[in-house]
Order: sequence, then C-alpha cells, then structure tokens
Amino acid sequence: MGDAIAVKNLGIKFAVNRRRRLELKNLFIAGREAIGEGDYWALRHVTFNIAQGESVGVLGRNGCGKSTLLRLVAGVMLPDEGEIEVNGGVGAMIELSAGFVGDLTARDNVYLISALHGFSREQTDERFGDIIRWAGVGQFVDTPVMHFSSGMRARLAFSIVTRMEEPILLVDEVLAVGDRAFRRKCGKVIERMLGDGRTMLLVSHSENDLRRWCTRGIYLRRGEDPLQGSIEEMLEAYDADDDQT
Amino acid sequence: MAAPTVDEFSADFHRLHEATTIRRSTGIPFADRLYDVWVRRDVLRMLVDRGLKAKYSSSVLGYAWSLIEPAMFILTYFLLLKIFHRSYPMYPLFVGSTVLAWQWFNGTVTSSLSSLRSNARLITSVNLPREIYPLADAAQKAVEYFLSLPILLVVALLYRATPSYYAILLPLALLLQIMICVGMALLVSALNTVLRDVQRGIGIVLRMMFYLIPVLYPLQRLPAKYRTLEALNPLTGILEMQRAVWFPGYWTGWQPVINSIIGACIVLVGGFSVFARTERTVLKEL
Repeated sequence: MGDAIAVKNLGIKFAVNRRRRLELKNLFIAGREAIGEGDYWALRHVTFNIAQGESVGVLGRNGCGKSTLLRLVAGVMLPDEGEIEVNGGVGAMIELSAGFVGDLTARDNVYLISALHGFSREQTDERFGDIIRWAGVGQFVDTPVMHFSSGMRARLAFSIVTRMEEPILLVDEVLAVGDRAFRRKCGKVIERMLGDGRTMLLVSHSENDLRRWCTRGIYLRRGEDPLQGSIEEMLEAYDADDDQT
Repeated sequence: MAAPTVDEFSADFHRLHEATTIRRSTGIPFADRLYDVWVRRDVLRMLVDRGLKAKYSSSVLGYAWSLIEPAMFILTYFLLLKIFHRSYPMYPLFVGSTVLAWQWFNGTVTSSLSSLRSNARLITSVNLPREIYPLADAAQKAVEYFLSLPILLVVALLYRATPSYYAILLPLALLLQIMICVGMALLVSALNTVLRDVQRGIGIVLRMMFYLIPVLYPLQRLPAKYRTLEALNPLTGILEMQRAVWFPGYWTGWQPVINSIIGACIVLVGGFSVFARTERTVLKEL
C-alpha cells in the first residue's frame, strides 16, 4: 500500500497581532502599532511521508507547532503553503478532546462525534457500551462533559477516537494526564491498533512512549525544516539541543 | 475489548475512504465545496435535528413558542395601530403575511453569528466541510418558519380571507428567501469569527432594516422616490409576494421581484465565496 500521509513543503503562518489589527476601531484609529507586526511562520518547508501502518512520533518544545501539524493533517486547519494528502479516515485526539461540546452529556457527545465521523445511530448503539466501559465513566454518562476531570475527559476522548477504528490515528499528548492504570490500558489499545495495520502520528513528551511505539521521529525545531530520522536519533538531537540552553 | 473482525475493519475502512472526499490543497472550486456538503448531508440533517430538539424540548411550552412569538408580535402591532386609529383592513393578517418571513430572515442572521464559534471544538477536531455549520443553522430556521405558518392560517381563517392568484408566486418567494438566508448565514458566520464587531453591527442593522423595509406597511404607501430605493433590497420583493397572496391590491409590479432574483443570486454566491476566502483565517481563529 502507498502512503497514508504525504506532506509536501507545508507552511502555515499566523499574524502576530491579528486580533488587534482586525478590530474595527483599530482600522480607523491609527497608531500604537506594536513592533513585530506581520506574519510569523509557525511551520514552514515541512515535507514528510508516512507509509500505511507506520507509526511516527512528533517531538519538539512547547509552541513549536506540534499541535498545529496534527491539525493540518487532520484537515481542520488549512495550510498557507504546500500540500497535504491523507488517504483514509482520521481519528484525531487533539488537546485531550475528541471535539467535545461542553454542555452536552457524555452520551450525547459520543453520538454526536460518531455521527460527524459518519457513523449511523445503530452503529454507535453497538459501540456505545464498549466506549463508556473502556473510559470508565459509566456512572457519569448523563453528566455534561464540562464537569469531567481532565483525566476522565482524556479517557472518554481516547475511547471514542480509538473505537471509531479509523485507519489513521492522530494522538496529541493523551498519556500525559492519565494515571498509570490508564496509560497501561491506552498502551494495549495502541498496540492492538498498530498490530491491525493502523497508521499513527503521536505527539508526546514522554521518551518511553515515543521509543515504545514509534519507529521514526519528526523533530520540529523552530518550525522550519524539521529533522527526521529514527526515533532514537531524534530523541538524541532533542536532548542535545536541550542541553545547550 | 474485542478486536473487530477483518471484515468489519475493511467495511469501515471502505466507508471512511469514500467519505474522505474533502480536499485540502489550496484553492477549492465552488462546485467541489457544494459537493462536499452534499456528501455529508447526513451530518447536516443530524445537526438540524439536534438544534430543533434542543429548542423544543428544553422549554416547557416547546413548539407552542413558535406560534406564540409571531402571535404576540401580530397582536402588538394590531393594538398599536388601533390606538393610533390608523388601521389597514385586516391588519393582523396584513402584518402576519410578512412578519413570519421577516422573523425567518432575522432569526437566520442572528443565529448564524455563532454558528462557527459555538461549534469551535467540533470544527477543530473533526474534518467536515465547515459550511455545514452555518447551513445547519439556516436550515433549522427554515424549518421553524414552516412550523410557525399555522398561526398565519388561523388569522386568515378568523377573517375568512382567501388567498389570491398571487399564491402561485409563493414557491418563488420561498426559494429566493432560502437563497438569501443561506448566503447571509455563510457570510455572517465567517465574518463574525474574524471580526468581532460584526455581532454588534448586525444587531443595529437588523433593527433598522425592520422598519425600513415594508414589513409593517405596503411598499405602495411610500412616495415614489423612496420606493425605488427600497425596492433595491432583495427582501422587499419577497415581502411583496408574501403580502400579495392575501392582499393583491397592494401589488406594485414586478420590479421588486426582479431585484430580489438578482439580489438573491448575488447574496448566495457572495456568501459561499466569502466563506471560502476567509476559511483559512477562520480556522486559525477558532
């Protein structure tokens, strides 16, 4: 099979001062323009291919564009430069959420998110029990998700995203908030999914997790021209940069 | 937990493969976007159902509110005119025939202000054509319009009024209004995400527009020089058609209707194109 994800010369920029520039009163009242006005490339010249069934780790410091990269691959942000080709459905768990609507209950969220991913009511009915059981939130199915702890939210999100059985999995820092039992459970699921031939892009700060599941790594350094290589090489490069500062 | 069988997995895989027709490279043509929305019309439907359910089941009176609101509106203006002794014949029917259409437009614009913002979490997690969210709000308001129509029929029955031959124009009036509402929903939802001022501005514009376009009075009553100006608003032709169904005597000719047809096309295409142009920025803002 071919590539699951092909990224070519990807670039995305953000306006440093967008909000201030866009408010109407600032369009009419000149003055006090901040220094550094203009655009800032969060990611640029990013090129990589991920084969079907491959698992790749993304590493880099806070704010280096890891979540942005995942969003671009998930198709929920659009690049300013370059192209992304994704072959297959994507299950994305970004910022500990599968896209929860806070004032809806866990039950409603499961059905809503599943439906947005193209599942019928009946298909979700079949999976619903499993999703809730695995997440261990049985007692709180009818509680609005906004009252959930971050651990519960992460468990529910991971459960929904993995039970959708999408061929491509994007996981952003899920394991950081969970306790040990949860991490172990997640580990099992990830192993099963990788065994089934799913493709995974994992963002993590945990060296153990990256070593355990990823064969290759992408190290985002200052957003431009990321380093790529085996996961070991990337972890070494990351450590070396860390020691310098 | 049990791993799915190979068949189950491959069935899912193919379903998802087919569903993933969403294009991500730069510069997406208009037709492709409409097609992407069409492919996921199941989601559109579900969002509308969800919106209606939330609206009707979260209050005690539920659906009755859809009738009470226009009924009170009609009553208020009826009493107001009674007090000033300036009544048109069958004024409640007169107001009712246009005010339901106005509330549809007003409701669409108002609710589309938050179409993208209130769904930010979903939009930034699940890859769907973003147009779906404002379109769902527009569709919901259209459904609510049809649900509020019984109040107009009740008023007509009370006056024993019968529709005129202009009733054959109703499908055109509805089609044009759908086009305008869809275009406005796309436009307003996108602009309000990048420019917070839109929300405040729109509130004022809507309030002024309500009095400036012929909702409460017939276009005919205006002096000729204002009439031409007013007929430029694409909503005017729609209101004229709606009113002529019950009051053919107030018909002023085809000019407002022609303007509406042109205007509706502009608003619809403009809405889609502004949405597409601002989408990149909108997604960064959410």
